[in-house]
Amino acid sequence: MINAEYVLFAGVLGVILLDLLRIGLKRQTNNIIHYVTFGILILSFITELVFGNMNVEFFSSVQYSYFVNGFVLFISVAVYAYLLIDTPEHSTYIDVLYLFAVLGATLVIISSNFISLLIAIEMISIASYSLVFFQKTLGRMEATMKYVAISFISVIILIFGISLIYAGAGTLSFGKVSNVDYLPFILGVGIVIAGLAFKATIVPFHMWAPDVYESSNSAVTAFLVSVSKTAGLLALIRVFFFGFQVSSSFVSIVFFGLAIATIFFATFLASVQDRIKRLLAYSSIAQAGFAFIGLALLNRNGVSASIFYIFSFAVADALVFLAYKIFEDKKIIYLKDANRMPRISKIATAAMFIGVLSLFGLPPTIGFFGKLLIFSALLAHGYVSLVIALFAILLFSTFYYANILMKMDLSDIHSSQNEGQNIRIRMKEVILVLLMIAIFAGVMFAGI
Amino acid sequence: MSMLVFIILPMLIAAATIAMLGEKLIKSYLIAIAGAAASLGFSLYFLATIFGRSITQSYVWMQFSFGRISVSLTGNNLTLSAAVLVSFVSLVILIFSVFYMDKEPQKRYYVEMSIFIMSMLGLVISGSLLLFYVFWELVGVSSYLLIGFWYKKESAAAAGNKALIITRIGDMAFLAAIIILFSVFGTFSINSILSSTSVLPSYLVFISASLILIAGLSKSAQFPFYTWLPDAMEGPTPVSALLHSATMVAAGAYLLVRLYPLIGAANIGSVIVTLALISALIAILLGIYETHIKRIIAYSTIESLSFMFMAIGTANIGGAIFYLFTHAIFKSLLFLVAGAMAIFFETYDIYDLKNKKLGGTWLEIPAVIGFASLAGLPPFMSFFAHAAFSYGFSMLEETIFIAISFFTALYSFRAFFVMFSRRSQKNLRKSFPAYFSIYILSIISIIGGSLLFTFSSIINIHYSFNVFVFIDVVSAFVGVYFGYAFFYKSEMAGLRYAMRNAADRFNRYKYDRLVYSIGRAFVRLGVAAARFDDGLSSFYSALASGSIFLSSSSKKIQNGDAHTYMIAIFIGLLALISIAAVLV
Amino acid sequence: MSISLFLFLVIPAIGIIWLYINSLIKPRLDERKIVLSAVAATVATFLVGLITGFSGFSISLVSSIDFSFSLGLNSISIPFMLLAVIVPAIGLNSAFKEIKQNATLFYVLFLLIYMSLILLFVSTNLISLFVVWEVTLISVFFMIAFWGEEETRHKASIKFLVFTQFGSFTLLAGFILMFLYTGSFNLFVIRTMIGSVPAWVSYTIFGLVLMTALIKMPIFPLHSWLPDAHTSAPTTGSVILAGLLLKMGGYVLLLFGLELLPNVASIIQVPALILGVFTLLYVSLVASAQKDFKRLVAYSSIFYMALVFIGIFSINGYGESGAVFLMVSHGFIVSMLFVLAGILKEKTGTRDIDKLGGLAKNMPFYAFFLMFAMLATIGVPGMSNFIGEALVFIGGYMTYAFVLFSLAGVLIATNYYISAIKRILFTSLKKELQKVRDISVYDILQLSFFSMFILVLGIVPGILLNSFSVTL
Repeated sequence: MINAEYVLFAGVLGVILLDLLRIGLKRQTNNIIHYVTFGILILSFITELVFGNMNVEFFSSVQYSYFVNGFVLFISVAVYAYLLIDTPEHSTYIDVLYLFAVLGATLVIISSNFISLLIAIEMISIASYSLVFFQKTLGRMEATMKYVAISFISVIILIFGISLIYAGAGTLSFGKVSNVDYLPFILGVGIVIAGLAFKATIVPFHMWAPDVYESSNSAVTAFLVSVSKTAGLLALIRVFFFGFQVSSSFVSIVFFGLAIATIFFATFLASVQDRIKRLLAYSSIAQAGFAFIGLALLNRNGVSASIFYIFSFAVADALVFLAYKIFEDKKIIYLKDANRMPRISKIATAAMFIGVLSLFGLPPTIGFFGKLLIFSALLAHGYVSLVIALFAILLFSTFYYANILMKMDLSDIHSSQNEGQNIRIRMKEVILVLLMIAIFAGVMFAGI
Repeated sequence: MSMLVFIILPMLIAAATIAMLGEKLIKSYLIAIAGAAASLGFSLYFLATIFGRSITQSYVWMQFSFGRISVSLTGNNLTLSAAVLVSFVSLVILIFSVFYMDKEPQKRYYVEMSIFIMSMLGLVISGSLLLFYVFWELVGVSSYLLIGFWYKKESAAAAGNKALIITRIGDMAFLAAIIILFSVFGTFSINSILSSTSVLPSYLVFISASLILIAGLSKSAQFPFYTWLPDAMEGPTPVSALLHSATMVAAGAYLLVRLYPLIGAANIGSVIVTLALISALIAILLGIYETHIKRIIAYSTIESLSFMFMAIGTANIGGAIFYLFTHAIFKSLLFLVAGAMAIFFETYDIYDLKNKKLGGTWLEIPAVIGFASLAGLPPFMSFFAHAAFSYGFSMLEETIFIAISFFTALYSFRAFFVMFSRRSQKNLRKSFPAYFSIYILSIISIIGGSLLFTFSSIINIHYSFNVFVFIDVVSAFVGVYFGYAFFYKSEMAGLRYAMRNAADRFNRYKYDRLVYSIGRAFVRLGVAAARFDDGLSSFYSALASGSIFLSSSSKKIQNGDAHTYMIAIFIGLLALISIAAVLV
Repeated sequence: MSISLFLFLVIPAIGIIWLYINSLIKPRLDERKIVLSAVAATVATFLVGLITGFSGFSISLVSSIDFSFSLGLNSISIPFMLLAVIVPAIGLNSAFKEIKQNATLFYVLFLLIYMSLILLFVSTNLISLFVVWEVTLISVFFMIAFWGEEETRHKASIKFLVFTQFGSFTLLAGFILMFLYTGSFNLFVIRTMIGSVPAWVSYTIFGLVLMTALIKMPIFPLHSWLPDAHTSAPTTGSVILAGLLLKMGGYVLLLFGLELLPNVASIIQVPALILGVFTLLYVSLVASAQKDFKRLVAYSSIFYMALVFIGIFSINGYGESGAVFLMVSHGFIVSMLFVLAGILKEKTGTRDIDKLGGLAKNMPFYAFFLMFAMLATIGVPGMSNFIGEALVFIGGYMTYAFVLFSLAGVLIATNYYISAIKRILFTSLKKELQKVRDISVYDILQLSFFSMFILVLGIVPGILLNSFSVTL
């Protein structure tokens, strides 16, 4: 009965104790703590692959959670490796918080009760506040404050909504809702959507995201996008599909409206950005919208499509942001500087390239299969004109993704010299390669 | 097996051989002449062996699961005698080319001529409308290439283009006609179509006949498509002789003859005659005014072709054919004479030639023969041809024709009398190719007339030497006399100036300019269309930039101010709550 | 012993891998030799396959969504395969001359497109078809964006991508609908099951596929991307774009529009034919006003695809056969014209017709081939375009007489071509062009290959006509 979550929890406690030990022994270097953290993360990943199921009072796995936890943990390992490579001397509390964040994410994915959901979300939120503030700068401080402020508000809203649901349904457990007193229940549902939408960066609750994503260290951004956003979306899925069935007209209108607003707004804004990171941030918000539209259908097809789509954009965004990290260090911020990329690291350029292609939806990357599944689900339900409208919007995203690729201007990739290759970059490249493989191989999971 | 194709094959092989060998092993002209001789031989052979019968050889060109398209060659009296004519005249002119093209690029000329001759032969023995069209186009393309032979000259290149465009109008009409016929009959075979024209509804008969008429008119330079022919004189003179008098332009008339049952069924004879008369009139008026000898002969070609069309319009196919044959001989003779003059004296202007003093040279007699044939004077071949083609003329047409004879004689002998008015001091050299070719044609022009009587065993010809024929002759002699008076003796200036003013006035109508401006109008239409298209393109770009603008303005919402964010959250929350409340 | 179609994936892939490895090691082989051998091997495989026959290949990748990589011939595969195998191969010479920067990447891209195009026409699984479709599109986008003309390539490539990507999306939607209602992504299964699809679905599918074709072929008013894309693209890019990518639109329209849903096609037959004829006439007029020779050729390629469109919508055997034949013929002819335009730029530094003149004097070989290509394109018999045009006109007329108005378009086309040729080749040689030299042996070889195909298909069309069948 070993689960990844137990491993993580044990790991957290273990790391704290070890650190205390270290301080007590007056060792200055804290490398060992980091390696332990890293080891715990890997262990949890392996555990997830091997065992995977957890079924207790507040948490239960459904068929997707094995898969989702798997890739969340995989990405977490990669991001942590990046953090480790970059700043091997960072404080140990970051390790602890990081483990907490990961734990929180996995718990969100498998929670089956509002209380556990709340606890898990808080876990991930609080931990991510300080992750954003990692490597302190003034800009980061502002972003962290915004994040904290808005996050508080959303949590409060969430709690309020949950209480209304309790008032209406009489229980906090997902599976057991039957007799409902509709008025408070529906109000509660609406408010809960608002609260969770914050984490999932759905318009108009996404406002914090561009600033926070942009200001953070790119590896942290990768984490926020791939893990935190995933958690938010899965929370919504868990509540509204695997949880209780709500009157579908309400949900359809709301969900569709929110999803379309997200996709439209984020795509429009992305097309006018000229800072690479901000553009990618907006694009990830649009991706969330896409995943959300799958959920809006509220049927098996839609939700599976949605989950696979989340997987595809999580991996792609992780790849892109992690690759970008290498460039960020060399101060490539604006699109027009993108043509220096190949000189810094060929592999990172290739990684970014492939990541963007996956976001764009080029076959045979998983981004394409994600879109395929979403469109299938929509068309199966008969929403042909909606699909065509989505195509029109996707043309915008085609534009800005292609713009990025074009600015990378690979035409003299071989004639360029390398600017400062060092071992750190090399190690990061290895991670990138792993992720690239995932982009292509991931199609195997499409059937889930 | 595939016998008739041997008529075409020698020229094809000649073209390929010349193209590949160039001047390296053998002179190009030898190959070409050998090919033409071989074609002539085959044509004569087939004519002799298939005399009186008709054989058709067909090949499947495209096979489909739902049908097939085949092409065929037909050998009967008409087609094979035409083949004999074409190969014979080609041979003579190729021999002349040895003299004329001596200093010019040889290979290109002989290849293009060979392609032309091959296509022309293929055209006359085609038994399938599709194959006929194929060769019809190829003839047009070789004409384009040959007219623009001296491509460095702007006028030559422009003339080639003009010819191709105007004849292409006819080509498209032809293509449309054969497609219409194919869709009804399911085959392109001429024999099948002609034998069952009654199957066609009358409106289709009318349409297809009219389209074919347009094709014939454009290829034969009749009104309203005549303007390309005078300009086509930019090409080398042997080209003018072969293509633009003897063979290619006659193909238009030939087409109408081949498909006569269809044309006749459409009852458009009077239209044909009218158009032909207009063409003749135009030719006369322009010919009188012209000073470039080749252009004069070109106008006379338009006129001669109109005679053929008049014959067709009056259901007299035999007459048209016989005139086609005679015309091929004497017209090419005239061109060869003009070509020889050009080589000797380097000018085509009849007044310049006057000063060069041509009188009494060995060119004089062939010139007389040629112009007299043109005027229709006995005892030359064309006199007999006149008797043939005017067979079906109505009273009105005969009367008009008297005037036509007069004017024709007038302007043709104008040319003669101007050029040969002064006696020459020296003798011109007698280069064998020139001498031989011109003399052969002259001899045939003289004795060929008697062929009329034997010809009718080959092709049925009606002829009558009725009173009008003789009046025409008289009228022609009167015209000769006036020509003599005006131009040789320069008398009767008053009448001459009157005539000149009439021609001048006509010239000012400038039909040619009209055609040209139609072309320009299309170009302007094109420019307008291009502007519209660019506008369309910018429309799309504007669409894109408009949305970018929309995006930029919405960017302002996300302004980094935390307050704004919270307001947004509350707005969203309120929206959700109200929707929830409404829907419950 | 028939040739497995899988080889068409393997051989170019080996080429790509070899190119990549080659770029890492020292000393480096000339990349051109590697590409040439890969291409030659593919051509050889194809030729052998024509004799011995092709065998299909299929592996199932993700069975839950019926994604399998399966290859097999369908009724119209072979002509398009011919085009896809031969045209880029011949066009390679232009790449050898033009591409100097970052050649390895270019050739990798080239081989990728080459492979994808061949696989496109033999894919029997719709997802694999879409995969290679997109790969082709993006690769051409990159070709234009990175190796095109400096000033205009960014805008033109994005325009190209956005327009054609919309077409890709609609095609994808069409495919998905087919899957949802017949339960399979396999071409043959869909064919048998299509009858049981509800009417509104078949209309939607047809509409979506039609939209893709309208964008790809392209047809008015969605054609605006093409002239800009061509003027900015490198010669090889134009060859691939015009010679092959446009045909993809025709291919899917035939396969998924006409052969699958002929009843729907006949409903919109008249408006479609009118649109085709209009596009044809409109585009000829616009072409008449062009000063850049390459842009002129670009517009005239729209002309021929409009003719193909007419052929398809005549919904009878002649029209369809004509459409396929014309696509193949046009592929060769327009590629030849683009190569000639590229040579023009290379030798004289400009493609502006007004600045040129009298080139026939210094460049007789070039003049010969240009003349040949021009005559071929205006439909002179003896060359392949005539056959295609004649068949399309026959088929079109048999449906509706007004199709013959297109003949006016042929007339206009003749006019602008011979005017352009006159100004480029004839009249007097301008002073600035005195030093221009004639084309090289490789160019002559390249152009002769094109000419050979054009002539052979024009004289013996049966070779091509017997290799495919239309089901009407």
